[in-house]
Amino acid sequence: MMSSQQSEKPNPLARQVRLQEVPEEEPKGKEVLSGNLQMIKDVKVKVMVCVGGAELTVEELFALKDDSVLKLESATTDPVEILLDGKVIARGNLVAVGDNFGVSVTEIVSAPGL
Amino acid sequence: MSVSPFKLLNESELLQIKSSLQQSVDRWRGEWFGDSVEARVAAMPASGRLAGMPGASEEASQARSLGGEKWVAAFAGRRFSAVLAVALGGRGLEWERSSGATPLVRDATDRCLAALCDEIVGGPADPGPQEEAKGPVISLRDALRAGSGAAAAAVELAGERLSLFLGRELVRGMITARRTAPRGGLAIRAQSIRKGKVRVRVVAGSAELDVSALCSVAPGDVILLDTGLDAPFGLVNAKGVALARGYLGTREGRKAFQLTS
Repeated sequence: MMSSQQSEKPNPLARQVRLQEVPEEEPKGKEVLSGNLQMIKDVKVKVMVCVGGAELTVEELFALKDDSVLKLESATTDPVEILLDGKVIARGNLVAVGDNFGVSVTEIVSAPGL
Repeated sequence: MSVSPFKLLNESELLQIKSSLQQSVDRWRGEWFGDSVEARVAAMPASGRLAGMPGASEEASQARSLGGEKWVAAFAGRRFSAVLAVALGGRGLEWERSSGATPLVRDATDRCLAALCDEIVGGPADPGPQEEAKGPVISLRDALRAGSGAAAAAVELAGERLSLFLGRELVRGMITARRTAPRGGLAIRAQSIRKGKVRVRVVAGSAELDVSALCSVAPGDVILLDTGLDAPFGLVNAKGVALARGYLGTREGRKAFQLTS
C-alpha cells in the first residue's frame, strides 16, 4: 500500500490540466443528431402503468388504514394508462402474462413532442 | 456548589409570555375596571428589570405560589389604589386625598391584585399551612435573584403601571402551553392543509424498455410489467412517490383500491 508521504510526492509525469475558456457563439449548420432515434435506440426508459386515480383531501388521505377502500374515478371498463415521465403515451387493457401482469396496448396517444 | 446555565428568555418566548399575560390581564381588567379601561402588557427577562420600574416596592403587594418556581408577584404603587378607587367609586370606596387609601380601599386593592395573581397562575392557589391567605412573601430582592428563566412584565392601566414577576416554572408553562395548543396562524394553516386536495394514482407496475422498442409499440402489442399476479399495486402521489400498497378490485361499477399496508 502507498503511504501518505509517498502519495503527496509530486509525480514528474503528471501535469495539471488547464481548461480553455469557451467562446460564446451562435449555433450554426445542421442539427448534429437531426432527430435520429437510432443514436439513442439502446437507451433504457421506464414506463409506468396507472390503473386509475382519485382526488382526496389530506385529511382523508391521512385517515386511510389497512383495509380502507379508495374508490377510483375510472370505471371498471376504462383502459389503463401507460405513462412516460408522468405523461400518457398509450392506453391499454390489463392482462395476465404468465405469472405477471401486462398491458395489451389498444391506443397510442399522439401528443406534440412525443 | 451546583452551577446551572443562565436561561435568558428570547424574543419569541417573550412574545408568548406577553400574549398569555395579556389574556389573563384582560379578563381581570374587565372584571375590576370594566371594558372602558385599557390594559397593555410588556414582557421582559426578569434579571435586573424591576429596579426603577414604577410601582415597585420592597415587598410584593400580592403574590401567589403553586410551589417551587411557579409563582407570580405583583408590585403596585400607592397610585394604583387611587386608580382602583376611581374605578370602584360607586361602591362606597373613596380615595381620601389627605390620608391616602382608606382601609376599605386597601382591602379592595389587596383583593384586586390577588385576583390578578390568581388569574395568572390559573385559579386561586391553595396556600400551604405556613402561608398566609395573601400568599408567600416575595421581596424585590427575591424577584431579582430569580433571573434565570424568570420574566418580568409591566402592566399599564389607566395611566398607572403595575410590575409583575413570574417564576421560571410558571414562565415555562406559559411557553409550553402555547406551543402545544397553537391558537393562531399555524393552527389555522394546519386546518387549511387538511382540507387541501391531493391527487393519487394506483400503479399496476412498470416496465423498462429501450427507446427503439418503445418507438415500435403498436396497438395489439403486450408490455410485460414487473408486477407478479399476486403482488400488490402501489398508491403514489402526483410525483410518483409511494404512499401505500394494496389490491385492485371494483366497487359500484368503479375500480377500487383496498389498502394492505
